[in-house]
Amino acid sequence: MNDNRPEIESIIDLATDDLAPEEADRLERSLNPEALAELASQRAARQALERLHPPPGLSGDEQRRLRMAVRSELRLERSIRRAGRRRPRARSPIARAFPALAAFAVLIVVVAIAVTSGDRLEFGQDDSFEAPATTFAAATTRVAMETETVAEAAAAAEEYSTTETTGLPETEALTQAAAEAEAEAKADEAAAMASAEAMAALDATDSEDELGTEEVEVEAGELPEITDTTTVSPSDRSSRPPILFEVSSSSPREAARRISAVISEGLATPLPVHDFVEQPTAPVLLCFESAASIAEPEGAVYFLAGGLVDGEDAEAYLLVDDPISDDAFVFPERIDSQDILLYSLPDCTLILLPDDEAG
Amino acid sequence: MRRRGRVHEPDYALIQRYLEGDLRAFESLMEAHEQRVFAIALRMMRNREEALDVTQETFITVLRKASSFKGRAAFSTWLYRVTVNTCYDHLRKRRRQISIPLPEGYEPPDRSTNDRLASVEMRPTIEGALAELPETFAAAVILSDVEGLPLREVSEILDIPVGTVKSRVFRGRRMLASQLGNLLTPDDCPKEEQR
Repeated sequence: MNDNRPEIESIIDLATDDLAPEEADRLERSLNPEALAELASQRAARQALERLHPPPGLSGDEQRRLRMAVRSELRLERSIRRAGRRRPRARSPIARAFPALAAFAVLIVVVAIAVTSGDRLEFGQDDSFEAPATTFAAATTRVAMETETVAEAAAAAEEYSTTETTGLPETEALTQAAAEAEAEAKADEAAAMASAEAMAALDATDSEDELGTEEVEVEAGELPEITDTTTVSPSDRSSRPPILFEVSSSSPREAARRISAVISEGLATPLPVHDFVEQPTAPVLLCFESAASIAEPEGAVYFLAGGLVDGEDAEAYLLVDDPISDDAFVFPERIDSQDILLYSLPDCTLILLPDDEAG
Repeated sequence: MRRRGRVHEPDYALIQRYLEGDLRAFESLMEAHEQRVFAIALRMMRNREEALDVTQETFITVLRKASSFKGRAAFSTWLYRVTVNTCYDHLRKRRRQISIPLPEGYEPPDRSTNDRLASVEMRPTIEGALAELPETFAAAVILSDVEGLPLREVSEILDIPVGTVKSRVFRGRRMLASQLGNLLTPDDCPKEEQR
Protein backbone atom coordinates (compact mmCIF):
# COMPACT_ATOMS: atom_id res chain seq x y z
CA MET A 1 0.00 0.00 0.00
CA ASN A 2 1.28 3.48 -0.79
CA ASP A 3 1.95 5.76 2.14
CA ASN A 4 -1.10 7.81 1.41
CA ARG A 5 -1.48 10.05 4.45
CA PRO A 6 -5.28 10.41 4.62
CA GLU A 7 -5.72 6.67 4.10
CA ILE A 8 -3.14 5.88 6.76
CA GLU A 9 -4.93 8.19 9.19
CA SER A 10 -8.23 6.49 8.41
CA ILE A 11 -6.76 3.02 8.80
CA ILE A 12 -5.09 3.92 12.11
CA ASP A 13 -8.29 5.44 13.46
CA LEU A 14 -10.28 2.42 12.39
CA ALA A 15 -7.77 -0.11 13.67
CA THR A 16 -7.47 1.71 16.99
CA ASP A 17 -11.26 1.89 17.43
CA ASP A 18 -11.03 5.61 17.97
CA LEU A 19 -14.16 6.45 15.99
CA ALA A 20 -17.89 6.39 16.63
CA PRO A 21 -19.53 3.29 15.07
CA GLU A 22 -21.39 5.25 12.37
CA GLU A 23 -18.33 7.18 11.35
CA ALA A 24 -16.19 4.02 11.41
CA ASP A 25 -18.71 2.26 9.19
CA ARG A 26 -18.83 5.16 6.75
CA LEU A 27 -15.05 5.45 6.63
CA GLU A 28 -14.53 1.73 6.16
CA ARG A 29 -16.94 1.67 3.22
CA SER A 30 -14.93 4.39 1.57
CA LEU A 31 -11.69 2.39 1.61
CA ASN A 32 -10.39 0.69 -1.51
CA PRO A 33 -9.49 -3.03 -1.43
CA GLU A 34 -5.82 -2.33 -0.86
CA ALA A 35 -6.61 -0.13 2.14
CA LEU A 36 -9.04 -2.73 3.46
CA ALA A 37 -6.34 -5.38 3.29
CA GLU A 38 -4.02 -3.05 5.17
CA LEU A 39 -6.73 -2.42 7.74
CA ALA A 40 -7.16 -6.16 8.26
CA SER A 41 -3.40 -6.57 8.77
CA GLN A 42 -3.32 -3.71 11.21
CA ARG A 43 -6.23 -5.07 13.19
CA ALA A 44 -4.71 -8.53 13.31
CA ALA A 45 -1.40 -7.16 14.55
CA ARG A 46 -3.06 -4.95 17.13
CA GLN A 47 -5.30 -7.67 18.47
CA ALA A 48 -2.36 -10.03 18.71
CA LEU A 49 -0.44 -7.43 20.68
CA GLU A 50 -3.38 -6.75 22.96
CA ARG A 51 -3.68 -10.42 23.70
CA LEU A 52 -0.05 -10.84 24.60
CA HIS A 53 0.19 -12.33 28.01
CA PRO A 54 1.32 -9.66 30.41
CA PRO A 55 4.90 -10.29 31.42
CA PRO A 56 5.45 -11.47 34.96
CA GLY A 57 5.51 -8.37 37.14
CA LEU A 58 8.04 -7.51 39.78
CA SER A 59 8.29 -10.18 42.44
CA GLY A 60 8.21 -9.23 46.10
CA ASP A 61 11.95 -9.66 46.33
CA GLU A 62 12.55 -7.61 43.19
CA GLN A 63 10.30 -4.88 44.56
CA ARG A 64 12.19 -4.85 47.83
CA ARG A 65 15.57 -4.71 46.10
CA LEU A 66 14.39 -2.03 43.71
CA ARG A 67 13.00 0.22 46.41
CA MET A 68 16.02 -0.28 48.61
CA ALA A 69 18.40 0.62 45.80
CA VAL A 70 16.40 3.68 44.77
CA ARG A 71 15.95 4.83 48.33
CA SER A 72 19.59 4.31 49.08
CA GLU A 73 20.59 6.52 46.15
CA LEU A 74 18.08 9.22 46.98
CA ARG A 75 18.75 9.26 50.69
CA LEU A 76 22.38 9.71 49.96
CA GLU A 77 21.66 12.88 48.06
CA ARG A 78 19.36 14.23 50.70
CA SER A 79 21.77 13.45 53.50
CA ILE A 80 24.47 15.34 51.59
CA ARG A 81 22.17 18.33 51.24
CA ARG A 82 21.29 18.17 54.91
CA ALA A 83 24.91 17.89 55.98
CA GLY A 84 25.49 21.55 55.20
CA ARG A 85 22.53 22.61 57.28
CA ARG A 86 23.47 20.71 60.47
CA ARG A 87 19.84 20.49 61.42
CA PRO A 88 18.99 17.95 64.11
CA ARG A 89 15.75 16.16 63.38
CA ALA A 90 14.67 15.70 66.92
CA ARG A 91 14.28 18.44 69.49
CA SER A 92 17.67 18.64 71.13
CA PRO A 93 18.02 17.93 74.83
CA ILE A 94 19.63 21.36 75.28
CA ALA A 95 16.61 23.09 73.83
CA ARG A 96 14.28 21.00 75.94
CA ALA A 97 16.27 21.71 79.08
CA PHE A 98 16.73 25.41 78.37
CA PRO A 99 14.44 26.85 81.08
CA ALA A 100 16.13 24.75 83.75
CA LEU A 101 19.58 25.68 82.43
CA ALA A 102 18.77 29.39 82.44
CA ALA A 103 17.53 29.20 86.01
CA PHE A 104 20.64 27.23 86.96
CA ALA A 105 22.87 29.85 85.34
CA VAL A 106 21.16 32.65 87.24
CA LEU A 107 21.65 30.70 90.44
CA ILE A 108 25.37 30.27 89.73
CA VAL A 109 25.77 34.00 89.18
CA VAL A 110 23.88 34.83 92.35
CA VAL A 111 25.96 32.41 94.39
CA ALA A 112 29.20 33.67 92.83
CA ILE A 113 28.30 37.26 93.62
CA ALA A 114 27.27 36.35 97.13
CA VAL A 115 30.54 34.53 97.74
CA THR A 116 32.55 37.42 96.30
CA SER A 117 30.67 39.89 98.43
CA GLY A 118 31.15 37.74 101.48
CA ASP A 119 34.89 37.52 100.84
CA ARG A 120 35.23 41.23 100.47
CA LEU A 121 33.24 41.83 103.59
CA GLU A 122 35.46 39.45 105.44
CA PHE A 123 38.48 41.45 104.37
CA GLY A 124 36.85 44.50 105.90
CA GLN A 125 36.55 46.48 102.68
CA ASP A 126 33.25 48.07 103.56
CA ASP A 127 33.81 50.98 101.20
CA SER A 128 33.84 48.66 98.17
CA PHE A 129 30.59 46.95 99.06
CA GLU A 130 28.69 48.76 96.35
CA ALA A 131 30.92 47.45 93.59
CA PRO A 132 29.87 43.81 93.88
CA ALA A 133 26.30 44.92 94.14
CA THR A 134 26.73 46.81 90.92
CA THR A 135 28.41 43.79 89.38
CA PHE A 136 25.58 41.63 90.61
CA ALA A 137 23.07 44.02 89.09
CA ALA A 138 25.00 44.08 85.84
CA ALA A 139 25.27 40.30 85.81
CA THR A 140 21.60 39.98 86.56
CA THR A 141 20.84 42.42 83.77
CA ARG A 142 23.09 40.41 81.43
CA VAL A 143 21.33 37.23 82.40
CA ALA A 144 18.00 38.90 81.84
CA MET A 145 19.17 40.24 78.48
CA GLU A 146 20.51 36.88 77.40
CA THR A 147 17.31 35.25 78.53
CA GLU A 148 15.41 37.83 76.55
CA THR A 149 17.61 37.12 73.53
CA VAL A 150 16.76 33.47 73.82
CA ALA A 151 13.11 34.31 74.24
CA GLU A 152 13.29 36.52 71.15
CA ALA A 153 15.04 33.78 69.22
CA ALA A 154 12.44 31.29 70.30
CA ALA A 155 9.68 33.75 69.40
CA ALA A 156 11.30 34.36 66.02
CA ALA A 157 11.55 30.66 65.45
CA GLU A 158 7.95 30.25 66.48
CA GLU A 159 6.98 33.03 64.09
CA TYR A 160 9.00 31.36 61.38
CA SER A 161 7.13 28.17 62.08
CA THR A 162 3.80 29.99 61.84
CA THR A 163 4.80 31.78 58.64
CA GLU A 164 5.91 28.53 57.14
CA THR A 165 2.70 26.72 57.82
CA THR A 166 0.00 29.25 57.16
CA GLY A 167 -1.46 30.59 53.97
CA LEU A 168 -0.44 27.60 51.95
CA PRO A 169 -2.44 26.73 48.86
CA GLU A 170 -4.85 23.90 49.30
CA THR A 171 -2.76 21.57 47.21
CA GLU A 172 0.12 22.03 49.61
CA ALA A 173 -1.88 21.31 52.70
CA LEU A 174 -0.54 17.80 52.76
CA THR A 175 2.98 19.12 53.18
CA GLN A 176 2.07 21.13 56.23
CA ALA A 177 3.02 18.52 58.75
CA ALA A 178 6.45 18.10 57.23
CA ALA A 179 6.93 21.88 57.10
CA GLU A 180 5.94 22.13 60.73
CA ALA A 181 8.47 19.50 61.63
CA GLU A 182 11.19 21.41 59.81
CA ALA A 183 10.17 24.69 61.41
CA GLU A 184 10.22 23.05 64.79
CA ALA A 185 13.70 21.76 64.11
CA LYS A 186 14.76 25.28 63.10
CA ALA A 187 13.21 26.62 66.27
CA ASP A 188 15.16 24.03 68.21
CA GLU A 189 18.31 25.07 66.45
CA ALA A 190 17.71 28.77 67.12
CA ALA A 191 16.90 28.09 70.75
CA ALA A 192 19.92 25.85 71.12
CA MET A 193 22.22 28.45 69.56
CA ALA A 194 20.82 31.20 71.74
CA SER A 195 21.19 28.92 74.70
CA ALA A 196 24.84 28.32 73.86
CA GLU A 197 25.42 32.07 73.51
CA ALA A 198 23.73 32.72 76.84
CA MET A 199 25.84 30.14 78.53
CA ALA A 200 29.03 31.58 77.07
CA ALA A 201 28.06 35.06 78.23
CA LEU A 202 27.82 33.84 81.77
CA ASP A 203 31.56 33.05 81.91
CA ALA A 204 32.13 29.43 81.20
CA THR A 205 32.44 27.00 84.03
CA ASP A 206 33.34 23.34 83.85
CA SER A 207 29.74 22.38 83.80
CA GLU A 208 29.09 24.78 80.94
CA ASP A 209 31.93 23.22 78.95
CA GLU A 210 30.32 19.89 79.40
CA LEU A 211 26.98 21.17 78.22
CA GLY A 212 28.56 22.88 75.22
CA THR A 213 30.27 19.69 74.19
CA GLU A 214 27.07 17.79 74.49
CA GLU A 215 25.30 20.28 72.29
CA VAL A 216 27.98 20.08 69.62
CA GLU A 217 27.56 16.35 69.63
CA VAL A 218 23.83 16.64 69.21
CA GLU A 219 24.15 19.08 66.34
CA ALA A 220 26.89 17.17 64.62
CA GLY A 221 24.93 13.95 64.84
CA GLU A 222 23.28 14.18 61.43
CA LEU A 223 21.30 11.11 62.18
CA PRO A 224 19.40 8.97 59.76
CA GLU A 225 15.64 9.10 59.93
CA ILE A 226 14.74 6.77 62.68
CA THR A 227 12.09 5.91 65.19
CA ASP A 228 12.52 6.83 68.80
CA THR A 229 14.15 3.94 70.56
CA THR A 230 14.75 5.52 73.90
CA THR A 231 11.66 4.06 75.49
CA VAL A 232 12.51 0.48 74.64
CA SER A 233 14.12 -1.53 77.34
CA PRO A 234 17.31 -3.25 76.19
CA SER A 235 16.38 -6.17 78.31
CA ASP A 236 13.26 -6.81 76.27
CA ARG A 237 14.57 -9.74 74.29
CA SER A 238 11.58 -9.83 71.95
CA SER A 239 12.45 -6.37 70.61
CA ARG A 240 16.12 -7.20 70.03
CA PRO A 241 17.63 -8.46 66.78
CA PRO A 242 18.23 -12.20 66.69
CA ILE A 243 21.54 -13.43 68.08
CA LEU A 244 23.78 -14.33 65.15
CA PHE A 245 27.19 -14.28 66.78
CA GLU A 246 28.76 -14.72 70.20
CA VAL A 247 32.16 -13.23 70.90
CA SER A 248 34.42 -12.06 73.69
CA SER A 249 35.37 -8.45 74.26
CA SER A 250 38.96 -9.56 74.88
CA SER A 251 39.43 -10.48 71.21
CA PRO A 252 37.90 -7.74 69.07
CA ARG A 253 39.62 -8.89 65.88
CA GLU A 254 38.12 -12.34 66.26
CA ALA A 255 34.77 -10.66 66.86
CA ALA A 256 35.08 -8.75 63.59
CA ARG A 257 36.01 -11.93 61.76
CA ARG A 258 32.97 -13.75 63.12
CA ILE A 259 30.61 -10.92 62.25
CA SER A 260 31.99 -10.82 58.71
CA ALA A 261 31.47 -14.56 58.51
CA VAL A 262 27.82 -14.21 59.54
CA ILE A 263 27.28 -11.82 56.64
CA SER A 264 29.31 -13.84 54.15
CA GLU A 265 27.35 -16.96 55.01
CA GLY A 266 24.15 -15.14 54.20
CA LEU A 267 22.76 -15.37 57.73
CA ALA A 268 22.14 -11.62 57.74
CA THR A 269 22.04 -8.89 55.14
CA PRO A 270 23.55 -5.49 55.82
CA LEU A 271 20.79 -2.93 55.68
CA PRO A 272 20.97 0.83 55.86
CA VAL A 273 19.72 1.69 59.32
CA HIS A 274 16.88 3.77 57.96
CA ASP A 275 15.69 0.86 55.81
CA PHE A 276 15.97 -1.50 58.72
CA VAL A 277 13.95 0.51 61.18
CA GLU A 278 11.27 1.32 58.66
CA GLN A 279 10.39 -2.32 58.31
CA PRO A 280 7.23 -2.82 60.33
CA THR A 281 8.50 -5.94 62.05
CA ALA A 282 12.12 -4.89 62.44
CA PRO A 283 13.59 -5.22 65.90
CA VAL A 284 14.64 -2.06 67.69
CA LEU A 285 18.22 -0.83 67.38
CA LEU A 286 19.67 0.93 70.38
CA CYS A 287 23.21 1.96 69.40
CA PHE A 288 22.63 3.42 65.97
CA GLU A 289 23.02 6.98 67.26
CA SER A 290 26.50 6.22 68.53
CA ALA A 291 27.37 4.61 65.21
CA ALA A 292 25.93 7.55 63.28
CA SER A 293 27.95 10.02 65.34
CA ILE A 294 31.15 8.33 64.18
CA ALA A 295 30.11 8.22 60.52
CA GLU A 296 31.32 10.78 58.04
CA PRO A 297 28.69 13.40 57.10
CA GLU A 298 28.44 11.87 53.62
CA GLY A 299 28.72 8.35 54.94
CA ALA A 300 26.11 5.74 55.67
CA VAL A 301 25.50 3.42 58.61
CA TYR A 302 24.42 -0.15 57.99
CA PHE A 303 23.10 -2.54 60.59
CA LEU A 304 24.94 -5.83 60.30
CA ALA A 305 23.69 -8.22 62.95
CA GLY A 306 22.73 -8.72 66.55
CA GLY A 307 24.73 -10.97 68.85
CA LEU A 308 26.31 -11.45 72.25
CA VAL A 309 29.52 -9.96 73.66
CA ASP A 310 30.60 -11.61 76.90
CA GLY A 311 27.06 -12.89 77.20
CA GLU A 312 25.46 -9.46 76.86
CA ASP A 313 23.32 -8.31 73.95
CA ALA A 314 25.31 -6.56 71.24
CA GLU A 315 24.79 -4.81 67.94
CA ALA A 316 27.20 -4.70 65.01
CA TYR A 317 27.19 -1.89 62.46
CA LEU A 318 29.05 -1.11 59.28
CA LEU A 319 30.35 2.35 58.44
CA VAL A 320 30.64 3.25 54.78
CA ASP A 321 32.39 6.52 54.08
CA ASP A 322 31.67 6.77 50.39
CA PRO A 323 28.35 5.12 49.60
CA ILE A 324 28.20 6.82 46.19
CA SER A 325 30.31 4.07 44.74
CA ASP A 326 28.65 1.38 46.77
CA ASP A 327 26.38 -1.28 45.53
CA ALA A 328 24.20 -2.57 48.34
CA PHE A 329 24.24 -6.03 46.85
CA VAL A 330 28.00 -6.60 46.96
CA PHE A 331 28.46 -5.79 50.60
CA PRO A 332 29.42 -9.28 51.72
CA GLU A 333 32.63 -8.93 49.70
CA ARG A 334 33.29 -5.44 51.04
CA ILE A 335 32.95 -5.89 54.76
CA ASP A 336 36.24 -5.33 56.43
CA SER A 337 37.06 -5.40 60.11
CA GLN A 338 38.10 -1.78 59.91
CA ASP A 339 34.56 -0.75 58.98
CA ILE A 340 32.76 -2.66 61.73
CA LEU A 341 31.50 -1.09 64.93
CA LEU A 342 30.51 -3.45 67.71
CA TYR A 343 28.53 -2.25 70.70
CA SER A 344 27.50 -4.16 73.79
CA LEU A 345 24.25 -3.33 75.56
CA PRO A 346 22.71 -1.91 77.60
CA ASP A 347 25.10 1.07 77.56
CA CYS A 348 26.28 0.82 73.95
CA THR A 349 29.85 0.24 75.07
CA LEU A 350 32.06 0.29 72.01
CA ILE A 351 33.96 -2.98 71.81
CA LEU A 352 35.39 -2.63 68.34
CA LEU A 353 36.36 0.61 66.65
CA PRO A 354 37.29 1.18 63.05
CA ASP A 355 41.08 1.05 62.72
CA ASP A 356 41.52 4.71 61.93
CA GLU A 357 39.33 5.76 64.86
CA ALA A 358 41.17 3.49 67.23
CA GLY A 359 44.54 4.82 66.07
CA MET B 1 -21.93 -2.42 53.11
CA ARG B 2 -19.59 0.27 51.94
CA ARG B 3 -16.37 -0.92 50.48
CA ARG B 4 -13.34 0.67 51.95
CA GLY B 5 -11.17 1.01 48.89
CA ARG B 6 -7.72 2.50 48.93
CA VAL B 7 -7.70 6.08 47.78
CA HIS B 8 -4.65 6.96 45.74
CA GLU B 9 -3.36 10.42 46.44
CA PRO B 10 -2.78 12.51 43.37
CA ASP B 11 0.79 12.12 42.23
CA TYR B 12 1.47 15.84 42.59
CA ALA B 13 0.62 15.79 46.29
CA LEU B 14 2.74 12.69 46.75
CA ILE B 15 5.67 14.37 45.01
CA GLN B 16 5.35 17.38 47.31
CA ARG B 17 5.27 15.17 50.35
CA TYR B 18 8.25 13.22 49.06
CA LEU B 19 10.17 16.47 48.62
CA GLU B 20 9.42 17.29 52.23
CA GLY B 21 11.12 14.06 53.20
CA ASP B 22 8.07 11.86 53.72
CA LEU B 23 9.23 8.37 52.83
CA ARG B 24 5.69 7.03 52.87
CA ALA B 25 5.05 9.23 49.87
CA PHE B 26 8.05 7.63 48.21
CA GLU B 27 6.59 4.19 48.90
CA SER B 28 3.22 5.26 47.52
CA LEU B 29 4.77 6.59 44.33
CA MET B 30 6.75 3.42 43.85
CA GLU B 31 3.74 1.25 44.56
CA ALA B 32 1.59 3.18 42.13
CA HIS B 33 3.98 3.10 39.19
CA GLU B 34 6.72 0.52 39.52
CA GLN B 35 4.86 -2.37 37.93
CA ARG B 36 3.91 -0.45 34.83
CA VAL B 37 7.34 1.12 34.45
CA PHE B 38 8.83 -2.35 34.74
CA ALA B 39 6.34 -3.77 32.23
CA ILE B 40 7.22 -1.13 29.64
CA ALA B 41 10.92 -1.64 30.28
CA LEU B 42 10.57 -5.41 30.00
CA ARG B 43 8.71 -5.15 26.69
CA MET B 44 11.34 -2.79 25.35
CA MET B 45 14.41 -4.58 26.69
CA ARG B 46 13.19 -8.21 26.60
CA ASN B 47 15.57 -8.97 29.42
CA ARG B 48 14.47 -9.04 33.00
CA GLU B 49 17.71 -7.88 34.59
CA GLU B 50 18.08 -5.04 32.13
CA ALA B 51 14.44 -4.09 32.70
CA LEU B 52 15.10 -3.96 36.43
CA ASP B 53 18.10 -1.73 35.80
CA VAL B 54 16.00 0.54 33.61
CA THR B 55 13.25 0.68 36.24
CA GLN B 56 15.74 1.58 38.94
CA GLU B 57 17.43 4.23 36.82
CA THR B 58 14.09 5.68 35.83
CA PHE B 59 12.90 6.19 39.38
CA ILE B 60 16.23 7.58 40.50
CA THR B 61 16.26 10.04 37.60
CA VAL B 62 12.68 11.13 38.10
CA LEU B 63 12.85 11.45 41.86
CA ARG B 64 16.13 13.33 41.71
CA LYS B 65 14.42 15.88 39.50
CA ALA B 66 11.12 15.72 41.33
CA SER B 67 11.45 19.34 42.46
CA SER B 68 11.16 20.43 38.83
CA PHE B 69 7.81 18.64 38.42
CA LYS B 70 5.13 21.32 38.39
CA GLY B 71 2.14 19.13 37.78
CA ARG B 72 1.30 20.64 34.41
CA ALA B 73 1.28 17.19 32.82
CA ALA B 74 0.50 13.87 34.40
CA PHE B 75 3.34 12.50 36.47
CA SER B 76 2.91 9.17 34.72
CA THR B 77 3.53 10.83 31.35
CA TRP B 78 6.81 12.21 32.57
CA LEU B 79 7.70 8.92 34.24
CA TYR B 80 7.01 6.86 31.10
CA ARG B 81 8.97 9.31 28.97
CA VAL B 82 11.99 8.83 31.19
CA THR B 83 11.38 5.07 31.06
CA VAL B 84 11.38 5.01 27.27
CA ASN B 85 14.42 7.28 27.02
CA THR B 86 16.29 5.14 29.52
CA CYS B 87 15.40 2.09 27.43
CA TYR B 88 16.77 3.84 24.34
CA ASP B 89 20.03 4.50 26.20
CA HIS B 90 20.33 0.89 27.29
CA LEU B 91 19.51 -0.40 23.83
CA ARG B 92 22.18 1.83 22.34
CA LYS B 93 24.71 0.53 24.86
CA ARG B 94 23.64 -3.01 24.10
CA ARG B 95 24.10 -2.47 20.38
CA ARG B 96 27.62 -1.27 20.98
CA GLN B 97 28.39 -4.38 23.00
CA ILE B 98 26.75 -7.25 21.16
CA SER B 99 24.81 -8.01 18.04
CA ILE B 100 21.28 -9.15 18.74
CA PRO B 101 20.63 -12.72 17.62
CA LEU B 102 17.37 -13.75 15.98
CA PRO B 103 14.66 -14.23 18.57
CA GLU B 104 14.52 -17.66 20.07
CA GLY B 105 11.88 -19.87 18.47
CA TYR B 106 11.68 -17.78 15.34
CA GLU B 107 9.64 -19.56 12.71
CA PRO B 108 9.00 -18.83 9.08
CA PRO B 109 5.58 -17.43 8.17
CA ASP B 110 2.79 -19.95 8.47
CA ARG B 111 0.09 -19.49 5.87
CA SER B 112 -1.49 -22.88 6.48
CA THR B 113 -4.20 -21.61 8.75
CA ASN B 114 -7.33 -19.90 7.58
CA ASP B 115 -7.79 -18.00 10.83
CA ARG B 116 -5.55 -15.00 10.48
CA LEU B 117 -6.10 -13.77 14.00
CA ALA B 118 -5.39 -17.17 15.50
CA SER B 119 -2.37 -17.61 13.30
CA VAL B 120 -0.95 -14.41 14.70
CA GLU B 121 -2.09 -15.02 18.22
CA MET B 122 -0.90 -18.58 18.54
CA ARG B 123 2.61 -17.83 17.47
CA PRO B 124 5.11 -17.34 20.23
CA THR B 125 7.06 -15.21 17.79
CA ILE B 126 4.98 -12.10 18.34
CA GLU B 127 7.35 -11.15 21.15
CA GLY B 128 10.31 -11.84 18.93
CA ALA B 129 8.80 -9.85 16.09
CA LEU B 130 8.22 -6.97 18.46
CA ALA B 131 11.86 -7.08 19.44
CA GLU B 132 12.86 -6.81 15.79
CA LEU B 133 11.10 -3.49 15.35
CA PRO B 134 13.20 -0.34 15.28
CA GLU B 135 13.11 1.01 18.82
CA THR B 136 11.13 4.14 17.97
CA PHE B 137 8.40 2.06 16.32
CA ALA B 138 8.52 -0.48 19.13
CA ALA B 139 8.02 2.24 21.73
CA ALA B 140 4.97 3.62 19.92
CA VAL B 141 3.45 0.17 19.43
CA ILE B 142 4.13 -0.97 23.00
CA LEU B 143 2.66 2.16 24.57
CA SER B 144 -0.34 2.21 22.26
CA ASP B 145 -1.23 -1.41 21.63
CA VAL B 146 0.31 -3.31 24.51
CA GLU B 147 -0.15 -0.80 27.31
CA GLY B 148 -3.35 0.56 25.79
CA LEU B 149 -2.50 4.22 26.24
CA PRO B 150 -4.39 6.78 24.11
CA LEU B 151 -2.47 8.08 21.09
CA ARG B 152 -2.45 11.58 22.54
CA GLU B 153 -0.78 10.39 25.72
CA VAL B 154 1.69 8.38 23.66
CA SER B 155 2.54 11.55 21.75
CA GLU B 156 3.20 13.37 25.03
CA ILE B 157 5.32 10.56 26.39
CA LEU B 158 7.40 10.30 23.22
CA ASP B 159 7.36 14.07 22.76
CA ILE B 160 6.30 13.83 19.13
CA PRO B 161 3.14 14.98 17.29
CA VAL B 162 0.10 12.69 17.30
CA GLY B 163 0.43 12.31 13.53
CA THR B 164 3.94 10.96 13.97
CA VAL B 165 2.68 8.53 16.59
CA LYS B 166 0.04 7.29 14.17
CA SER B 167 2.62 6.87 11.48
CA ARG B 168 4.95 4.92 13.78
CA VAL B 169 2.17 2.73 15.09
CA PHE B 170 0.97 2.09 11.54
CA ARG B 171 4.40 1.16 10.26
CA GLY B 172 5.22 -0.82 13.39
CA ARG B 173 2.09 -2.95 13.07
CA ARG B 174 2.79 -3.40 9.42
CA MET B 175 6.27 -4.70 10.12
CA LEU B 176 4.88 -7.03 12.75
CA ALA B 177 2.29 -8.37 10.35
CA SER B 178 4.96 -8.78 7.71
CA GLN B 179 7.31 -10.63 10.04
CA LEU B 180 4.53 -12.88 11.21
CA GLY B 181 3.50 -13.67 7.65
CA ASN B 182 0.17 -11.97 8.07
CA LEU B 183 0.65 -8.94 5.91
CA LEU B 184 -2.39 -9.24 3.74
CA THR B 185 -2.93 -8.33 0.15
CA PRO B 186 -6.29 -7.51 -1.43
CA ASP B 187 -6.40 -11.12 -2.68
CA ASP B 188 -6.19 -12.39 0.90
CA CYS B 189 -9.15 -10.39 2.05
CA PRO B 190 -12.50 -12.13 2.22
CA LYS B 191 -14.96 -10.67 -0.20
CA GLU B 192 -17.25 -9.38 2.53
CA GLU B 193 -14.44 -7.13 3.69
CA GLN B 194 -14.00 -5.68 0.22
CA ARG B 195 -17.28 -3.90 0.12
